[in-house]
Amino acid sequence: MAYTGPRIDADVHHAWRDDAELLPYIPTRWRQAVADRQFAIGPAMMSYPHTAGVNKRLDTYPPIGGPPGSDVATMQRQLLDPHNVSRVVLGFDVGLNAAVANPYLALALVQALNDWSIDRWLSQADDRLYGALLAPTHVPEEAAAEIRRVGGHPRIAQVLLPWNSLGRPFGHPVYHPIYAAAEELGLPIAIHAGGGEVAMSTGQTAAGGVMPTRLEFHTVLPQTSQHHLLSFITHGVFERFPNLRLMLSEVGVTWVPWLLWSMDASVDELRRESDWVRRLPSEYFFERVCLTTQPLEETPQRSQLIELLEAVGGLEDVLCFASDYPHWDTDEPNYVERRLPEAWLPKVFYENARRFFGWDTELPPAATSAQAPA
Amino acid sequence: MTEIIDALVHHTWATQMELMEFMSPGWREFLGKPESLPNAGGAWNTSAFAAAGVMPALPTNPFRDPAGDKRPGTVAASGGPAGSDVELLRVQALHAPGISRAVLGFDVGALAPTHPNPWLALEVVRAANDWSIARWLSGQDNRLYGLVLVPNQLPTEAASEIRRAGAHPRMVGVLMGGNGMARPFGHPIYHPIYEAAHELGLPVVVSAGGDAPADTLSHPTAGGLPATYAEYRILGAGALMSHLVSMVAQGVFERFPGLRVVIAGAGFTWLPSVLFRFDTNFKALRREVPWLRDLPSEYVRRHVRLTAQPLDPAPVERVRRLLATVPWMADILCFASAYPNRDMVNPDAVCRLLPARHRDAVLGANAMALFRWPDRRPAPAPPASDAVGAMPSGQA
Repeated sequence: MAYTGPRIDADVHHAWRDDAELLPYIPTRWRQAVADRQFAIGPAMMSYPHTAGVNKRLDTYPPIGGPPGSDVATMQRQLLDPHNVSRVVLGFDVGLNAAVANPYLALALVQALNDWSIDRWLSQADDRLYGALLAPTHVPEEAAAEIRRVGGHPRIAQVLLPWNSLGRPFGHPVYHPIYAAAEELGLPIAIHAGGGEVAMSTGQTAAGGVMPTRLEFHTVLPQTSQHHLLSFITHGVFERFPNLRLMLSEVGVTWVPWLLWSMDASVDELRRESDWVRRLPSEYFFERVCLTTQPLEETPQRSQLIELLEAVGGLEDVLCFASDYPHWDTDEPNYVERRLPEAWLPKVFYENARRFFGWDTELPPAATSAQAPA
Repeated sequence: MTEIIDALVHHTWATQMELMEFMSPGWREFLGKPESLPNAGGAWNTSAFAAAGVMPALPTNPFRDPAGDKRPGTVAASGGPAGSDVELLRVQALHAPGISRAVLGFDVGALAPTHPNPWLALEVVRAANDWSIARWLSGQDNRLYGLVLVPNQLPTEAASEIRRAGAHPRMVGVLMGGNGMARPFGHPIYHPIYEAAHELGLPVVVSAGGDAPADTLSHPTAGGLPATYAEYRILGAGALMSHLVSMVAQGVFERFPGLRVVIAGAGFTWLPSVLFRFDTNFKALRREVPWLRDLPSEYVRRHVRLTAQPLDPAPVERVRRLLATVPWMADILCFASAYPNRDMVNPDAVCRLLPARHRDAVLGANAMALFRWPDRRPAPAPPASDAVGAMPSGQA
């Protein structure tokens, strides 16, 4: 029995077609230097294979040219229409473009990306398109200002922290102005996988040393997000900002039992070292956090995945479907549908994300783009 | 009665002076006589092992448990730190009925390989191994066995130390200790260590905490350094995940097909998730590691063991459900008390988590088949393979 209700896709990546499309949004102060490639629109990446544009499904290159995720029509044809998706949250190509060392250029790029996204995507007639706003994490006060500048747009759904620019886990008090602004605007925070794999990053991507292959890097990829989550508890982000919610994107889901049990087991130490840990870590987790499903771990048997997820109890209220289109390891909805317990599907595909984003009107089962207003 | 093997107990010297007896006169003079230096061993040295007035021989561990690092009552009557008194350790760690063997694996002494002076690190490690043999493995209790600590910052010297100290019959394995080169342990720089361990039939123990000392350049956590001990403790398993993934991916078990590795002190409830992620990624990315001929999880099954410590106080039924998602989990878990650490476990606690049919394996049989016991002749090591690191020609 297939799930036929509406679907929300919480992590989709959109991109600009070429520099010319983005340049008008970049302030004149920086525009010529960017156009001349004196400054790239993005950082020097570390040398993991597949970071330079081939971490995408090859079939997602739009027929009209440009990189995957840069053409609305292709996205509609490949993702929105065939998979009955009622709403997507666009999150750039994870937004590491702002992870440049120069904080002034970083701010200019973030503002340009946000303006471009609102102008070119979130103003489309297709009202299934929602987006994240990018926060410039170098200077948290500037991030707060940027959230207040564009966060009121009706199709902005969350605040994306793309780069751990200060080398501290995101719960650290230095980042708190970001959360004050996000809470004020009613926007949840999204932390995407990775974020340290750029030049001059001090927040390492793996404990124990630098990983040499993408196989190793990607296998332990959840470690950064695990630390961000724990630091939100250690530093009282959920206590200081009682309405703030957190989404962890693209780090899979099967590590949750270990981390929740381990956090709760150390609540004595947590309380001795922090004034902010007032409840069990797992209570904060179930009340405030959601995880996107992608990449849903491919256990040899479906029952292994279900047993692992059910071991913790209550995870059906935490998971939100995400395809991660057009990345190389996209999870299509029918794949997720085959893997999870049938009773979880209305929550995972729709209800959890609708509650998380605070969308209080019922969404209809998806229209196709042919039916949507032109 | 079930035979119980305790795969990791932490022993230590009472003061640095006890260790220095095993160091060369030159190094002894360098570190100083007690009271010869004002304030040394004082506020800046949190290791608490340096005698007053000498320079500390060990790197500092910046993460201390605010609730106490050690189980109350384990400090020796003589005033030495927990784990420094053979008699007390015999009474407290070997008292449970059925404990037939226990493997000693140092305490903060295991951090020595990360000392920024590689020559001092080498001398401390040699002295620690000689101290262990003389003070613990020479008739004090015939249930005690040891691990050869390796100066892994100098992998060639480390291999020599394995061949030297590992010749002692009561040395049953190798201890990597602190991460001296700040690389995941699969990195080829470390392979001479595995070559020597493989040759002698000794398993390699990778113990939690090796990425924490003040001097190492690897991080104990990803995403930034921890602000608190609790973060370090909760996420400390992450570095062990990295080392495990790295050793499999970098072909350590292809190069040394008889080698076994023990991941110690990091718990085990994270393993199913890491294995499923690893196998999934391998299907797409195996061209990065063409020397791997099996799924990563198969290497873990054949070559890797985990100590069942620490235990999280999650409901037993939930933990059992999680364990059952890896059908051979009970074949790779080994009981270890981690005495005298605060999070030490006893055999009863491990038994409660396991279905009855798995108890003998986890309490003793798995460790019996793992270490190089003097009364068990190890199978001769299969020949090392040299395919690792080569990219196939790609001629189709």
